[in-house]
Amino acid sequence: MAPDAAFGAVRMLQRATFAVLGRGAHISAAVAGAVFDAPPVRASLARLETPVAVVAARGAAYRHGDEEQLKAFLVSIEPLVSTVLQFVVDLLPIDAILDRVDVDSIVRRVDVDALMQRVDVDAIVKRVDVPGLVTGVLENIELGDIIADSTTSIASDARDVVRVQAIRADGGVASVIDRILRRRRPRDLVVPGYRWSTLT
Amino acid sequence: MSAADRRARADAVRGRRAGAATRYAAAGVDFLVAGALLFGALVGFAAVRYLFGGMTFALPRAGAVFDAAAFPVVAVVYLVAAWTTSGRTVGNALFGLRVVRDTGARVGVLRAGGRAVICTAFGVVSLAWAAISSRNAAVHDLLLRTSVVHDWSAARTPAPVSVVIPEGGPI
Repeated sequence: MAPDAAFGAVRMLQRATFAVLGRGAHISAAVAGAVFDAPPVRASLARLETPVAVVAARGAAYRHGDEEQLKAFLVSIEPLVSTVLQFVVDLLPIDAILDRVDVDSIVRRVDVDALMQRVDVDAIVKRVDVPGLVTGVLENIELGDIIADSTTSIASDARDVVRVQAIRADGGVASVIDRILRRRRPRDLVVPGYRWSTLT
Repeated sequence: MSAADRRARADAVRGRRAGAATRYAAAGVDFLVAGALLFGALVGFAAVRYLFGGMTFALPRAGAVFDAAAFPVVAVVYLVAAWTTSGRTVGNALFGLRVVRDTGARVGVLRAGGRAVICTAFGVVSLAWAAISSRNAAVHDLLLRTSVVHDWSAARTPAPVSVVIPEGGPI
């Protein structure tokens, strides 16, 4: 009990002291304000403004210079700091640390539905420049080439179909003729020595 | 028939002698082409005469002999020019055919000229023998030792169109 009583007494004394000091500071500030607002004191302060202003300007210049020097110093040591940080990062066993992190458990804690409810999709869509996007995509599509390729493809397909139909007709005619002539051997259609050019 | 089927058929017949039906179809196209060439020549002659001769624009009428000879001459010139260069007339190109010697070599001017004369004069009848011949050879092929072979590849499907969105696009 005695230690608690001593501690309580000290704390009460401390709080009373701070209260007195605070009240004194308030009163002092009020008195100083009243004194400084008095005409004679104000005139005296006005006379002091000019030399104080000179000193203040010099102080500002010193402060600005100090700031510039500090900035230059920080810039000069930036490579050194980067090197040190890189060295430290290299020393860290990142893989071992990551191995100890259970990412799945972290992800399981995330309430994706609640997160998505907080996303304002309409606001995002409004920020997207859809006409600009469409225009940009269309500018990169060579519609002329597409149409030309499609037309060429259709024409080529039609031409190939006609060729195949003609070949079938050849086969049909040859079959009928060979049957009439009772020809049993297949026709000799190979041209020896011909090297085709495989043109379309 | 799919594109793969057409390619397979083209690979199967490439280098083999074409039958009568295909050759008749190609000859029909060449007949039209020769007529178009003759008509174009007449129109060109009329245009030149109109522009530089001060005459009215009208197709020339040179007489019955010219009318009778003009088409065969144009056809022979056209056929010889095509067979001795690429081996293909327009009709041949459309049906994927090529005219070669029986050895597979390209035909020369004399052989092509004789073949063109026979084709122009008796082509319809001469070509009918290709349906009967065991080598799909027409009469002019037998006389001049030429062959008409398939020589084409089916068209490939074009590559899909790729769209490139510029970096730092409109978003």
